[in-house]
Amino acid sequence: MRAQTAGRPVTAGQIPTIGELLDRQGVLAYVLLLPALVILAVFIGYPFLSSLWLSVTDQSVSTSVARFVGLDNFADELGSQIFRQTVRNTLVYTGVTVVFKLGLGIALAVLMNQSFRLKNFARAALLLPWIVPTALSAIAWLWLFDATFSVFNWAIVHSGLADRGINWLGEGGWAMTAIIIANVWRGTPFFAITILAGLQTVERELLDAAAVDGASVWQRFWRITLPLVRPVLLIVLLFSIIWTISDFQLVYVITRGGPANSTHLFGTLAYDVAVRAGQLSEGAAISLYMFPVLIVCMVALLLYLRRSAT
Amino acid sequence: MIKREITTSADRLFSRRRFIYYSAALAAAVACGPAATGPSASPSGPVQLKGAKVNLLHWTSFVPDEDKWFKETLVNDWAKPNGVDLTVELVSANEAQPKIVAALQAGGGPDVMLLQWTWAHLYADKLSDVGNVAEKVGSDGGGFYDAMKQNAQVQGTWRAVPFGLLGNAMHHRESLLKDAGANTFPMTWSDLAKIGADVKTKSKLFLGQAMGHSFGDPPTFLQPFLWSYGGSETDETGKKIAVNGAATKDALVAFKDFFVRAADPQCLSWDDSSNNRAYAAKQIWATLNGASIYLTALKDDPDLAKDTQLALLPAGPKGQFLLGVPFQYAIPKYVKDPAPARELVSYIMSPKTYSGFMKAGKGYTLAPYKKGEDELWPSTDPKFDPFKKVGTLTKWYGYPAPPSPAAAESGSKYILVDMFAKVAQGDTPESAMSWAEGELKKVYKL
Repeated sequence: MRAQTAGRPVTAGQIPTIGELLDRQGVLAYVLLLPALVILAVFIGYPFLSSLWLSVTDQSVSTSVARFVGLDNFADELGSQIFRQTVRNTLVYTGVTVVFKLGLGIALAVLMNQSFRLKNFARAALLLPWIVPTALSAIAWLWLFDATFSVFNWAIVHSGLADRGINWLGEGGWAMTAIIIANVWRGTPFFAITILAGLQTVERELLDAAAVDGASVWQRFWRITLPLVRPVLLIVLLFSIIWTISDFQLVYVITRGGPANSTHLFGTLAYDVAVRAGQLSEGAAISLYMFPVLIVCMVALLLYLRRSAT
Repeated sequence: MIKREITTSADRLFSRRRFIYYSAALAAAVACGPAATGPSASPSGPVQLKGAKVNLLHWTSFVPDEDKWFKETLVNDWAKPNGVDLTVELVSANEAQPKIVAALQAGGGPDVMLLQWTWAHLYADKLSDVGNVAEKVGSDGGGFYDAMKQNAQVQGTWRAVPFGLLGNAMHHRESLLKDAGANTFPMTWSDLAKIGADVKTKSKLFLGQAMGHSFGDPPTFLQPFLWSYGGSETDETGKKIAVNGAATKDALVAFKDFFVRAADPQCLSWDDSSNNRAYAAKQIWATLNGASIYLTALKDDPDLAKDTQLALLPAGPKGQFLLGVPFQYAIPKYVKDPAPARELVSYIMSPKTYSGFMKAGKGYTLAPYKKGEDELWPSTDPKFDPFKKVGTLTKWYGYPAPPSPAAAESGSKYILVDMFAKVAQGDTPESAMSWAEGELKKVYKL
């Protein structure tokens, strides 16, 4: 039996050279994949497995040797009011922001799909909130909501709408509103630009034919445009849900989870517990509570992509 | 199957096989580069101070001259003459703990780290015994204040050397107080609620007190408030959660009255810098803070400084309590040769050096030992006099129980701060106490 390679023929029992091995498609594929696999293993696989291990131990900064405690950390969190509040906060934050980002993203995309002067400039400007580093834009929002120097409050007071401004970051409901506004501002461009790319694949002839048949603008949008961009919408939606549930920077900079834990998300609470209070295992358990939700989103995304591909 | 022939030199150069060879060679060169070109390893044996490298992690003070002292004076007076390569890394107080935790967990980082509060108890297993340095510093300085000792000594072993204390005082506008009919700052919390309401009516200004998740002002205002009504996290043994009781309820009822009548409701989100800005902008008439507010006003707004008076916190039915922010120097166990780090700490903390530091900071950071309030006292301004009592009156996280890892964790989680904030937001005292009890039981594992 002989194996045929691009180089010399290899007889059974003869050890192939490295060059001959690399000429085999199957071997070469794994060699080329290796750097990516190493990066994934080191920067994602190891930390993930490490956090899984931490979550079932009693590891803290003050303990030298961790003890296996099973699922105690997960059970303890369910008994914590702060954790339960964090779950509620995360659901509200994710639900409200995604709905707004989707609505505003579609509206902006439809607008940007029209022909008007400075269209390209407007499209580029639209991306700015998405491009600016989150920590930087979060500081800007922090100042906009600042108790003493808020521009919004200045406008409210000086326009005579109220004697005192809104207690943006000092009252739970308003603090949640503040971080939702900041997140919607930052995330809408991602929706808009991606949906815009989808809109541009919709063939003009279809819309023109529908118009000739008497379809109104709304009917054309609802019956033709929306179904055609639905794949893009679903992917954007899933990505946004994943990113919003695991959000950290905006909330940490603007409210630090306060006042009185009313804006803590999984990420900020896990950070406070693990890194500030030194309870590493407890923090790992909190962050892993995100995992089932994220895995459902990821599986849905992958299934959808696979179905689209076939 | 299409078979591709390699025919040109360019094709040979970039064949898949060669691509892999070149990539591997490049990766190997990158990996080996630093080892091949870097300095040779230092010989084994005792490290001399000369040539030693010391990395000091310090907080960024609210008084820039203190930072300047570390960055310039310390480097010029100690590091350069001794041939030490000293790096002073300054981080904001709220960001210090994440850096410290990361360094201790990773087993590498700063040689000397400035801890806050009772963190020495939280990280005790990972900190070197610095008893020799601490005993000498305490002895030379006339003895540490009790709270400073409690924070740094863990079960009889010095895990840190007390560095200093931020003494907070109620900065207030004297003119506005007089307009409201009071000649001096109120001595009790109930009087403060009444007079604060009067000032609010007259001047339309609130008393602005930070109550967010921030290291200094929120706990130093709220924990003494609780203690002054007899409330506490635990009993004196630290073995029983005591927060859900009549004394705490009294404190929360009094706090609610104070908050509604006199305080700025925006302050629930404030951190340690928010009240500084608000006071400088004349948006509030009083706030608890370190002397940085007054020192900044002296420089930037002399009229405001002239009108500013300082007073210690009012008393409650059970007396007057204070909680200054304590700092300590710790040397982690991962430091292979702690000798230079110990030398550095000994140098900074010697009364002679510390006197220079206090003068640079104009008394913002108070000495951890008793010489600080007499012969080392850096200010001739009588407005600073209240700070002389801070070292003696100040308590610690977890008081009246001894400091513990659980008390440190509770402080890091701001459980008591949030209990007060919940009441300010409209929760009943019973509900807030019950919440705090639940969280504290989890922390204390009781």
